[in-house]
Amino acid sequence: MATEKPINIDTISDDNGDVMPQPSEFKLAIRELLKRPPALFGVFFILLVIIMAIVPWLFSPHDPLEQSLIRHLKPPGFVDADGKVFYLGTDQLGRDILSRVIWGSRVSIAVGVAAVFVSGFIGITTGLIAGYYGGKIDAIISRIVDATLAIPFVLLAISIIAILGASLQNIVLAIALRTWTVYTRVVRGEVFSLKETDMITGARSAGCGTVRIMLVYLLPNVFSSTLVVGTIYLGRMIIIEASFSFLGMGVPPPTPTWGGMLAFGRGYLDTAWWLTFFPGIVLTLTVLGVNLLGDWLRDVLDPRMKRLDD
Amino acid sequence: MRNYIIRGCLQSIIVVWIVLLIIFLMLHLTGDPADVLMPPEATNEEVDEFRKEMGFDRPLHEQYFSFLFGHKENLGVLRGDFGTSFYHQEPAMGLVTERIPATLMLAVASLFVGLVIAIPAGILSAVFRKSWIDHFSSVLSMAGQSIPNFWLGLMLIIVFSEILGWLPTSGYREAKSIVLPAFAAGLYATARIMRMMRSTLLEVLSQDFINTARSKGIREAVVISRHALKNASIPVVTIIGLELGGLLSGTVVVEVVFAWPGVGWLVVEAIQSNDYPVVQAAVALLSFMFVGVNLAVDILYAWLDPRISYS
Repeated sequence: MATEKPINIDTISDDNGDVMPQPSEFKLAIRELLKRPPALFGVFFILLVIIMAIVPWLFSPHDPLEQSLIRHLKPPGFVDADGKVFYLGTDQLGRDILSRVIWGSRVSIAVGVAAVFVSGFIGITTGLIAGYYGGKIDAIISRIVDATLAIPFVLLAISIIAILGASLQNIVLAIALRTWTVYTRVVRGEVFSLKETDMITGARSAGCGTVRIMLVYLLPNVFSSTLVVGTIYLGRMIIIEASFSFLGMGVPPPTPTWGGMLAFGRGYLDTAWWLTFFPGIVLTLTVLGVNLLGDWLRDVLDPRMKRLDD
Repeated sequence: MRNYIIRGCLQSIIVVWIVLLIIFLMLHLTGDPADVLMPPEATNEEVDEFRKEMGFDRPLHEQYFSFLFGHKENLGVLRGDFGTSFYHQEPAMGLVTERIPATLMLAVASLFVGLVIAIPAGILSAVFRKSWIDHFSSVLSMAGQSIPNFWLGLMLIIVFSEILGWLPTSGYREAKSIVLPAFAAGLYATARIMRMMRSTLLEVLSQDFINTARSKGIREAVVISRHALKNASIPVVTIIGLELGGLLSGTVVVEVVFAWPGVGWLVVEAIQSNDYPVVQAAVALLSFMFVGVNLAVDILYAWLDPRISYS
């Protein structure tokens, strides 16, 4: 009796009839990533900055707060009398720039990630409601979105921070107050087209409640585009946090922040370029990394959003 | 078309109303505006007196009504009266309108920088797709979206003012003092316009009527300049309008870097001295300008593209 091979849906055969394993989606994504050096750079740099933000003491050669007037404004590569090396130089209070850049990643990453989550939560909720109900509710939400977009964001945000006081959560709040609108618009548009599909009409006729339809059927379907938007906006949030710190409206000193370092260095543009160059280049590379990652995610997760860009 | 314009205007009025509501509520975020506005060293009696004088002890809806329509000698924001600046002892709105020309000038100059670079670069990279110029402009557009404009400003100062000594670090009187701020503030808009120009032109170039034109033997340069660019112009015009709106308020930090005497710098100073009438007036005026530019872009868009339905 001939034994028939069971058909395995995970394997396909090539021309010779040999069975080849089908790579998993994760492996495909990794393979795709290896083919794109810019995205690969983005992933590596972001991972590095995140690890720096979580365990800065592993990387930081010196105490970021330790002052010393003897070694103030020393150029990169300076070695002091004890043989300690200051690779990126020191600032006007003699603090090590490299250590401050490493510790400064904490505020940037914390504010950026928290702002993405808070604004994503508000935006997805309002987007689901506006898209699902349509009509008057949609009109109200859309006008609020328009008004929010019309207000000069940085000015409103720094006023709110000044009124409430500069703390981590107030900064996140001030950023999220504006950026939720982006998610609202994306989710609203997607839900508009989704709610006419058989899936939703079927769920409704099967007696699903509104909340259940939103959470079980709509939410997973808008997830990938919100993830893409979230990644692209993470970079902007990091820039916004840095500009608040630069204007003196960020997390107050002595906590090192990239924007705060730039503000301090501004007074020494003619004599000590390293004060402004290094924090800024790390800030830029971080944002660049996030943007490259966002571009890649958009192509992988959301081919509909892909324009004729490449 | 007329109905379309009327509807746009009505929507803009609603938006302006919500903006004013947000600006009014801003001071009430902590629950007590008197506490926010008075310096920390003020005594309780002084704060109480100030609260009475400003009417902060009245119910919120009454305060909102007087905010809009005026109260005592104040005319209300609907007639452009945002109160008197605590610091300058002058009408807040006047202080802001004085600074508008500088901000407008910087926004227009930044947009100009953007257009001069973005339009040719966008066209060339669409026409010569995958060539070195295309790769170069995609790097430029990625950089434009990643470099914070205020850091770019600082770096430009180091290179062009401190090292080369070609351009001033700040100032407003000389024509050449606008060059660095305009580049710093304009790079982001450059990146966005360039991407838009490239992708719309690519889309147009892939359409049938372009192939028809080519097969008729029309020279490629004519196909691109006469047939393709005309059709690619609509989305580009729209994004240019939107970028101008964004630049009006997007140059705040650049203004501070270059000590450019615009609205952004005024507001940053006003916030530092707790001068909220000025902050409110500035936020309101810039919002109205943004709404106005957007409305103009919408109408222009409908006028340029007859396929848009007005219903």
